[in-house]
Amino acid sequence: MAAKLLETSNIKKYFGGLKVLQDVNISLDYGELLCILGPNGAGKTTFFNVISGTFKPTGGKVVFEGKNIAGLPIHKYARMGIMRKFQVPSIFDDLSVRENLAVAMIANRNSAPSNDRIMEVIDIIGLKTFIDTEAGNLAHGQKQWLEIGLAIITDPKLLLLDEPTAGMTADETAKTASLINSLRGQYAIIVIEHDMHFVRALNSYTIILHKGTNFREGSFSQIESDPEVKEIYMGRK
Amino acid sequence: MKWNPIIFRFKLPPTLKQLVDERIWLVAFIGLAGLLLAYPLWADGYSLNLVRDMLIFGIVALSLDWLWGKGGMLSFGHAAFFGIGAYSMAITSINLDWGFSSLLGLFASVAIPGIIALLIGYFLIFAGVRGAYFVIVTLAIGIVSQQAAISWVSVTGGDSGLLGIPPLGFTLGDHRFQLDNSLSLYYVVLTVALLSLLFLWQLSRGLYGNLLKGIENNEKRAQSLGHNTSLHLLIVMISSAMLAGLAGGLYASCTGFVAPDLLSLMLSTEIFVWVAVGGRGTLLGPFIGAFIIMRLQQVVSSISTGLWPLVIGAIFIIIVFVFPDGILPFIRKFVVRFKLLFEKSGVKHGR
Repeated sequence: MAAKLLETSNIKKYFGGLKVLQDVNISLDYGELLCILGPNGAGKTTFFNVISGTFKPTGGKVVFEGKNIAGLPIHKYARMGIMRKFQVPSIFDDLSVRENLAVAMIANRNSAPSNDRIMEVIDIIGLKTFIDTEAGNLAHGQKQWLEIGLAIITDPKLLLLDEPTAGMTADETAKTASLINSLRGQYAIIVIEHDMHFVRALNSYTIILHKGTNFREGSFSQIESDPEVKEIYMGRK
Repeated sequence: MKWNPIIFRFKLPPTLKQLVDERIWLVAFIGLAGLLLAYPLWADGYSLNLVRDMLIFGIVALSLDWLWGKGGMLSFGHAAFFGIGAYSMAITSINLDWGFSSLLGLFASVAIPGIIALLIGYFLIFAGVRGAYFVIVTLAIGIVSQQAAISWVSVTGGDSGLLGIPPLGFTLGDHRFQLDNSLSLYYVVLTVALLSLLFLWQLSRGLYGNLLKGIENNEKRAQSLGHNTSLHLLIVMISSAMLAGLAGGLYASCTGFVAPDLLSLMLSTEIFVWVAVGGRGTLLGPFIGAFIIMRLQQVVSSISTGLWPLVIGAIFIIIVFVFPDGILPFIRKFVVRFKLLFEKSGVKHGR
C-alpha cells in the first residue's frame, strides 16, 4: 500500500497545564478533501499550527509522505508542499495582487515562474479586474481569495485553509465554496470551519474536534444527524 | 540553500505608478550624476574635498536605506559599521609595511564590518529579533563600539584616534601608484557612490525588491510560502554593513585620520535623519538628504556653532509632520497626481 500524504498519530499539544490537543489522529490521501469542524476552543487552529510547523507538538507524530516532519523550520514545510491560509487574511498589503502572486510563485523551486501562470491563478480566484490593485486596498473577501491564490500558485500537495469564509457575506461564502470545490482533486485540502452551511456545500469527509480529540468522523450527512454532535454545537435544550 | 537567480531574472509587467517612479528616479539620478561629474570643472580644491566627504556620507546613508528602507530593519548604530570600516583601514595600513597595505586595508574595511554584521545579525535575525528590539540592540552596538575605540588605546589610539593613514595606492617594485590628489580621490569616491547606487537600485526594482517589501509587510506569510526570510534579511544586513564599511575605509584614506566620533551616536542619528529626510526606501533620496542636511549644517554652524542640534531637531519634527515619507516620495506623489489628471483629460487609458 502506498503511503498516505499526511498522517498524524496521537498529536498532543500542551501549553503548561492547558491540554489543547490530547489525541488527534487524521489521515489524508493525495487530492482528498477533509473538513475539521468544532466549536470555539476545540483546538482546530492549534492543530493547524502543529501540522504547518508553527508549533512543535508535545507528543505524537506528523508524517508527511512517509517522513516525520514535526519540528522542522516553517519554510521547510512550505518547500515540501504544505501551504497554509491563515484565519485572518495574511497577504502582502503594499504589493499589488500580481506582485503578491509573483512573490509566492518564486518560493516554489520546482517549476519556472511565468506571467501566464500568474494570470491563470488570478482567473481562478476571480480577481481579474484587480491585477494592479494594492492588496491592502482589497475587500475582505477578496483578500481571502488572494491568500488562497498565494497558496495554490506554489503548487502545493496539501492546502490548509483556516476558516476561509470568516467574515464573509453569504454571497462570498458561496463563491468560496465553489472555488474550493473547483480545486478538489488537484490538491489535498484540509478546511477548518465552524460554519455548517459552508461545510454542507463542500460535503466531504468530516471530523468533529472536541476538547482536543477526534470526537466523531464520517461523511457530512452522518455527522450532521448525530445527536451528540448537535449537543456540543447547540447546547442541551 | 540553493541559489535562486530566478528572483533576479523574472520580470513582471510594470504598472503606471512604477513607470512614473522609475522615470523620476532615473532623471534625478542622471541629473545628480551629471552635476557631480562636472563639478570639478569649477570647484576649488577645498570645496572638492567637502563634496567628496559628503559623497562618502551619502554612501553611508545609502547603506542604511538599503537596510532600513528595503530590508525594513532600522539600525540606530549604523555609524558603528562605518567607523569600524574606517578603523580597519587605519590599523591595517598604518601597521603593515607592505606595498599593497592600503588596498588590503580597504579590503579589511569591507570584510570586518561584514563579519561583525554576520555574527550579530545571525544571532539577532535568526532569533526573531525585529522592529523596535532590533533598533535597541543596534543602538547598543553603536555605543559599545565607540567605547571600544576610546578604551583600547594601544590599537585605536583612544580619544585622539589614529593619524597618518597613507593614501590609497600600491607600490610594485620601483613603481609607485598613489591616489593623493583631490581630483582623483573625488572621482574614485564618486564612482563608488554612483555604482553602488545603481547596483542597489537595479537589485531592488524587480521581484527581489518585492520580496523584501513582502517580508517587511508580513514576514510570517513569506515564511510560510517557503522563503527563508531570516537568511534574506541577514544578507541585506551584511551587505549594508559592508557598504558602510567601504565608505568608512574611503573616508579614512581620504582624510588621513580616524577618531572615535566616527562611531558616535551623534553620527548614527545624523545618518538616520539623512535617510528620513531624503525618503526611506528611495535609495537616491538619502544621498540628497545627506547633501541638504550637511550643507545646512555648514551654513548654520557658520552663524553659531551651538545652533545646529536645535535646527536638526526642528527639521526632523517638520519632516515627520509635513512629509513623513521624505522629499522624494513627496515629489513623486505630485507627479503621479499630475499625470493621472493629464490622462483623464486626454487619451483614454487602455490595457
